[in-house]
Amino acid sequence: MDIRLLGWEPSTGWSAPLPDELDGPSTLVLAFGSPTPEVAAARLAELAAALPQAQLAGCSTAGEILDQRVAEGSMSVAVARFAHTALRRAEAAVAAPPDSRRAGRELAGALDAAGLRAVLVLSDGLRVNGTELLNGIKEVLPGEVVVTGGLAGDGDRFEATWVVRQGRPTGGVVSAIGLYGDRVQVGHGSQGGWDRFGVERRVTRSNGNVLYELDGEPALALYKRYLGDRAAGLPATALLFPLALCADEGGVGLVRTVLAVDEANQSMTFAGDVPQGGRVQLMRANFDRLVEGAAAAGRLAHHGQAFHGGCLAVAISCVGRRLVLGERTEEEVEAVLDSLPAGSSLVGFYSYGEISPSTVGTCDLHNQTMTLTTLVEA
Amino acid sequence: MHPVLARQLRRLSLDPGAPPDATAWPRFLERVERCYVDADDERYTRERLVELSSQEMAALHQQLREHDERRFQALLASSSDTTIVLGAAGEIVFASSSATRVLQLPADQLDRQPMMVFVQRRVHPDDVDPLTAKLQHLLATAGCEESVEFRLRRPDGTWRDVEGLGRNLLADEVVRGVLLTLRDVSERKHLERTLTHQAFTDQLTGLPNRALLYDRAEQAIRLASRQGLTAALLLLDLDRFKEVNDTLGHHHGDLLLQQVADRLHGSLRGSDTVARLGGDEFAVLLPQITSVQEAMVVADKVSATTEAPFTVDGLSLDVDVSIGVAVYPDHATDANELLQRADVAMYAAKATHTGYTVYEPTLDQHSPRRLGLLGQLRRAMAAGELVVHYQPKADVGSGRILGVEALVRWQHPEHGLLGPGEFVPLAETTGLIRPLTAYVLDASLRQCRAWMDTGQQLSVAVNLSTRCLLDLTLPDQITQLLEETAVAADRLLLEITESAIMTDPTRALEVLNRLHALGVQLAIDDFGTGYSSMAYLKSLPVDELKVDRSFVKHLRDNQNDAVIVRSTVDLGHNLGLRVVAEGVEDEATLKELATLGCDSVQGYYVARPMPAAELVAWLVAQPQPATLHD
Repeated sequence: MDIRLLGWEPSTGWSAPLPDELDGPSTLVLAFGSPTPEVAAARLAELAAALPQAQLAGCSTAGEILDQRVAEGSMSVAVARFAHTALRRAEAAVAAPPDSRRAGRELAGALDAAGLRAVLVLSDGLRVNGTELLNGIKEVLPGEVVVTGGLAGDGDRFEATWVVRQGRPTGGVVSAIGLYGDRVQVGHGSQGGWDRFGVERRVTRSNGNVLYELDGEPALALYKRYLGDRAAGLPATALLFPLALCADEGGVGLVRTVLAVDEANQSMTFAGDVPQGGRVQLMRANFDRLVEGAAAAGRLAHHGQAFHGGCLAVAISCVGRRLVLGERTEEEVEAVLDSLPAGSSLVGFYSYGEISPSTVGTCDLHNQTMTLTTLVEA
Repeated sequence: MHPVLARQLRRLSLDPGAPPDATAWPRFLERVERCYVDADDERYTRERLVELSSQEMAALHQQLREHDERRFQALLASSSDTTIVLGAAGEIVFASSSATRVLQLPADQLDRQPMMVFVQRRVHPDDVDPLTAKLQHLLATAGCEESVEFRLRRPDGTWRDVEGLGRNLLADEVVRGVLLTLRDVSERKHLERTLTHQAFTDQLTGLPNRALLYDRAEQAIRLASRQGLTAALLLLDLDRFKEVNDTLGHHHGDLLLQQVADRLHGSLRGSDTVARLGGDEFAVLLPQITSVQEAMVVADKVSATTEAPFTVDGLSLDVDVSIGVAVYPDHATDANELLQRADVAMYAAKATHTGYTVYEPTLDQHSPRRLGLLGQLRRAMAAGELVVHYQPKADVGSGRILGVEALVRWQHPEHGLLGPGEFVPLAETTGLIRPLTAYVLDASLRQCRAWMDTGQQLSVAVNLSTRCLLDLTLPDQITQLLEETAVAADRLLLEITESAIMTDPTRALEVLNRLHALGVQLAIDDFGTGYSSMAYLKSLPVDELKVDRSFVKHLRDNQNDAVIVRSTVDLGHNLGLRVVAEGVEDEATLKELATLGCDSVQGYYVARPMPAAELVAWLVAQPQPATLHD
């Protein structure tokens, strides 16, 4: 497995010549960036030209991760040529959230073939209900296929995201890369590091991932009260207080993060479902635990994995973490790198939602986590 | 250096050892400023979060408290218990709405009223003091818990039983008072009283039952034990009650029992307990008496109350009672034993139809069979099952048969011929010895008459027991018998033991003197076995001494016995008395007795006891007159 990392900055351009020598059908190109769509389209076109046979995937971000650095307005690119692994790419359009499950089924159907070991999913971050998308995928794929990935971001603006489709940045798209063969090993880890606080609240009105009322009070009003002056920064500042879904007996407590707010009907749209009748609790960040969570995710992903000649680590971390960590965001990236074997190549982005198997095995949509996927060939 | 600052310098490719140049400086400042802004935002968010969530928690807490309070009020209102909270001074600071039901007072009328005033006005006078004491204890003692029980007067004048629990919760921040939970337990109390009454009362007569008697007997024994007093138990059994039931039916039997109960109850002191133990068995407990004699007086009195006939449905019924008397501490150490001993005595009294029997240890020694015999003895007399055998007594010098000793036998239909040892000692423990003696006297004197009519001049000897000897009516009875049979008084010899005389020497002497005056011959039986005062013997109006068989038996091989017999003969002769030897079984003994100067002999060598009819034949067969030793 041959891996190159490279970055593009508006002021300095590509950090290195595009590695066209790695081109081939088993070459994966991941490109995460937040320049304007036009700039992004130009960069993607350069990549496609240099690596015409490779499988190009990518999406917009709320911050790019490359090695130990976090940047904005740039592009982080990883080029990995697999020696023993076949790749297949699938893409599906999603016009609106209700379309999500169908899109999931469609992608999974396109990739479901003998030898499928793992699927890396990159989805539009605003038009997709991540929970439903995964439900569609899970309906089709066998349980042992590892599904990881994330939802595209749009900085702290929450306006428009894009996913690479046919080499171009496109809205309303979900793409997936399938990895085939018995030599590829896919590790994964996903950790939060947030603390619940305050009273438990009942979801008195919701519809899928749209939350209207908690304990009979508009959810948006509650958030505004908590945010105070920082309510001006909505919807981004709502990420400071993710919602913990209280687990039923034996279930897994999930975390939900805000994607959008609607002043007109006082609703909030979350990256995953917030079931009506359930109980939720606000969460808040704990600096040290966020960083420790990132390190733990790295350790989990790498656990039990062979390491021969290169590890591509894809870090997908939540925009909410970046918002809290601010100037200290790179600390969590450094923590991830420290927890991986020396020589690992780290690329990734800040997202509007993370996809990773939960502790019970099936893949779920996570929020406010650092989710790490490690790819090695044995 | 702070790791964040170090990283910022690194990202900007700045040297920590030197200031940045003019172009790098603004970028450096911008990054540092972001850190400050981050920190401000973080602090703002955190403070807001703490403030709001604590407000929410407080609101939630208040909401829960209100909810709890509403639920508490709803529970109190629906509870059958009444809850009252007293302040530290005993004033009613809270009364639940159910107070109207239990206390028959609106809760607002109770407000701030001192509890003690309420107690004085509404609680039963007998319960005021104990309740007041408990309430004061409750008010004064932190954490104290007391159960309370009292009767409450309702506005209509009726009484209700109230029960509850008081807890001093003055230290409890929520209550800050003494919490009383009260409930109306009238129905339960009524049921309890009914059940208790039923459990301790005989339903037919309304008298206490066995359980209650037992309980009171235990109390009486405890009290008597402390005060050094005596307690007695009389156990009564109606004679022939079964006949009443069998012939007239249970209804009449029940009516009779009720009347007996009434009479018994009416004849005793209030402190005595009359109980029905079941069937026709009653008991009287005398908790405080001074002696056995006092118990016997009561037994007499009880016996007398049943003497007059009972009238049941126009029928006149005669009822005799048999009474067993047992006394603490003389006969028993506990209630169980007292009942058991009275039962034994009662059984003896019933068996002998003697009215009452005071327990004595010998009663216990009788086997059931022998007690059964005792019961049959009276019937046996009437049925002629008792027979008298006669043992001849011969003159040592002439060999002539001088007389006979009457010895009673029982021709029992099941057990065969029973010797006197089987039933006479038993009869002696009860009054039955008197009719038995009367029977033997009667039979013997009639037999004596019969022999006289056939030309046989024989005297007849009859044994007298202690009871008979002390019976002052005995001389009159004998006078009557002698008249009826036209037998001369000197033909009758009454044999008395030394110990019988010594039981009550004065009384014995009186009876003996009167008998002697009649001309009846008297003999001291079993002489030598008891303690006899020589001086006293001299004063007794006796005619004969009978040397006990135990000395005669070993006369020839025991020098001491020979000395005793010789001394007795000498003593008797010195006092002018005849001396008779019993238990002579061989000729050698007879000769020895003759040598010692004995006047007459009795024993198997002369003849065994035999029925009257055989005796006549035996007499005829004797060489007349003859000497015994040729």
